[in-house]
Amino acid sequence: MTMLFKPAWKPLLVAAVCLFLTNAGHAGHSSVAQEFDGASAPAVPSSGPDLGTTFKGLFDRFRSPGAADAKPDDKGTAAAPADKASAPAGFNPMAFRLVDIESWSQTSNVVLDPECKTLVQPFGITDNVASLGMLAAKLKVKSFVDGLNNGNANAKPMQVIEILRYAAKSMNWLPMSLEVKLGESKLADFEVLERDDPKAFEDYKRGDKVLEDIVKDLPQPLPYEFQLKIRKAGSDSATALPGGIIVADRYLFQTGKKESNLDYAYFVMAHEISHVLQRHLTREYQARLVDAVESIEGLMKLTDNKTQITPGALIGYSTALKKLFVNFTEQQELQADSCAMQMMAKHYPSHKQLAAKLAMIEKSMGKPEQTETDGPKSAQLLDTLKYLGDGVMERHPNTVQRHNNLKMLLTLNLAQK
Amino acid sequence: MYPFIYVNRMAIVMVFAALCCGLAQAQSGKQDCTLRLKSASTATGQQLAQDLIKANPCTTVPGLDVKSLSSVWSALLTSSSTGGKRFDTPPPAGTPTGKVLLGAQGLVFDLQSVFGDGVTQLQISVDDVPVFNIVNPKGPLLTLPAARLKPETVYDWVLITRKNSYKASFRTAAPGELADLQHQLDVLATATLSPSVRLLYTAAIYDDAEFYFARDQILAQLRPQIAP
Repeated sequence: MTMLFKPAWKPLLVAAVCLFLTNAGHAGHSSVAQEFDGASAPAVPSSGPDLGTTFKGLFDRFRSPGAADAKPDDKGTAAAPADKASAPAGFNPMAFRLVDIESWSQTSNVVLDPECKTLVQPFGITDNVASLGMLAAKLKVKSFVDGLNNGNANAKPMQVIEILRYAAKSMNWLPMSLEVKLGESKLADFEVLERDDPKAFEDYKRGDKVLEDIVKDLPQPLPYEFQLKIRKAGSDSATALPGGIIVADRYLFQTGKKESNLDYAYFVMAHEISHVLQRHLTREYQARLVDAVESIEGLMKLTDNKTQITPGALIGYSTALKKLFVNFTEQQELQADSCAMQMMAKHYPSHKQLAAKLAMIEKSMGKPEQTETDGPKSAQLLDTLKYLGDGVMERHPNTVQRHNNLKMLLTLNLAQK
Repeated sequence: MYPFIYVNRMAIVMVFAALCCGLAQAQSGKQDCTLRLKSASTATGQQLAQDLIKANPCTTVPGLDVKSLSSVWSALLTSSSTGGKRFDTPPPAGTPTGKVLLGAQGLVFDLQSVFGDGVTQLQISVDDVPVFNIVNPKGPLLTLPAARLKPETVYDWVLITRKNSYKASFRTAAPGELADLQHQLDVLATATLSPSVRLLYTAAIYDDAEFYFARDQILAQLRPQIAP
């Protein structure tokens, strides 16, 4: 325990986060979703400034949006840098894909867009810097970001750790290539049927059709190439892995007597695709990394005043942190439902048809059941320790929460008509 | 005349040899009897792997896909936690999903892994019509009598505990699906194998026939033997 919280550990973590951020500008950008209001994306160099892992590099990256986001042009070659001096005519630096970050928290337990207004979260550093700018304005520190963007050296310097935290909480910084590798390594834990396996031929055929139907309605180009894998066992669920791998249970696409089952499969797959497009798993990795810094700080603060250290205080602190993580995963699940609902709404533009399909899906999800909320059974030490040691760091919202969320979205859908 | 007969005989011999050779090649291409196993991390696991490799899968249970045996071995070594973001809470271990076999007594729901959470209800339906409804069970093992389960039928179930609700479905096998399976189990019964290797072969036979729930029950039984 004491080893873990040694102060020397923290700079290492900060450096790791910084390394990810700087690498993000170099890796996987052939698939970065960079949109400029429908106009063709200005080509930018594949070799951004050689920033290494220095903090200066990080500042440069914020200062020149676009320079870090390399995207090969149609011919697969790199073109001129997209800094302000050489930007092509018509280039509008504010026309990035923006996300209006609505919430702010000291820890990374916040789902930023619960109704899923943005189906595809921004992936490029450029887009994210723009989103960060909006957030900064809300936080009344816009002058600082403006100062950075304008190259104003006199701008009040912000602590690097603060910038890293902004970035880590508000942006997607884990390089896409690493995300794909993570997904591939997790896939090894699943027993999947090969595509040429005669047992799985029909399942893959139906599954591919469902996937195709979902993807064609999504904003293009997508940053991921989704891959469907079918599990040997299981029932009628599916799992999303980082990098766009969706592992579906064998029976998800077996319609049996009910043709409506394919609507359910559509919803399940759309939910999983949303986890990928919202980068939920990736954000969890990021959040745990970043919150670890704050958690350690919090813990150190707690232990600074030696007179106040009590086992109860420490346990209370750990319980609060665990609740945050569990709540975070519940919110992500509800957001993925919201996104799946938005995709269904595109697939079935008629509200009446959408409502009918949704009613069937809700039925397949199981009747609403209220279950206990997360947390220790009582404030007694034994129950708290049991809760901390139960190994559950993820949780699905109960069916009442899921049904209520879908009902609210259906009402919003009607209101928008 | 003689040279003609001689040539004819030679041709027959050559055609026969070619046919034999072709058949042999086709046969060897058809079934690869080499077992490729992932290495186990424990000494008992490594010993079990060696015992498994000693038996020739092609002769121990003719017709059994060797891939099923290596796949069962991999499943034995893999932890049940797979990570990723799943659509719903995974069904607890011991609850039936997918294609199931009915024992003489019926089908068992083993709820030990969640019984401590307080099981309040298990409802099983066919086409939305409830056929079993068990409320506040007294013990963790619930047996659905075989006589009340129809073959080749999809049963949807919902399990509710005070902490969570789970849903999944199982399908009872069609009588026709069981003939080959029973034949392979009968052949296995005559083979001389250690109890653990026999269990692995049984699991592979179930895997080959897509009875994964039955297979996983065997693997759950074997896991403690190879645990560190």
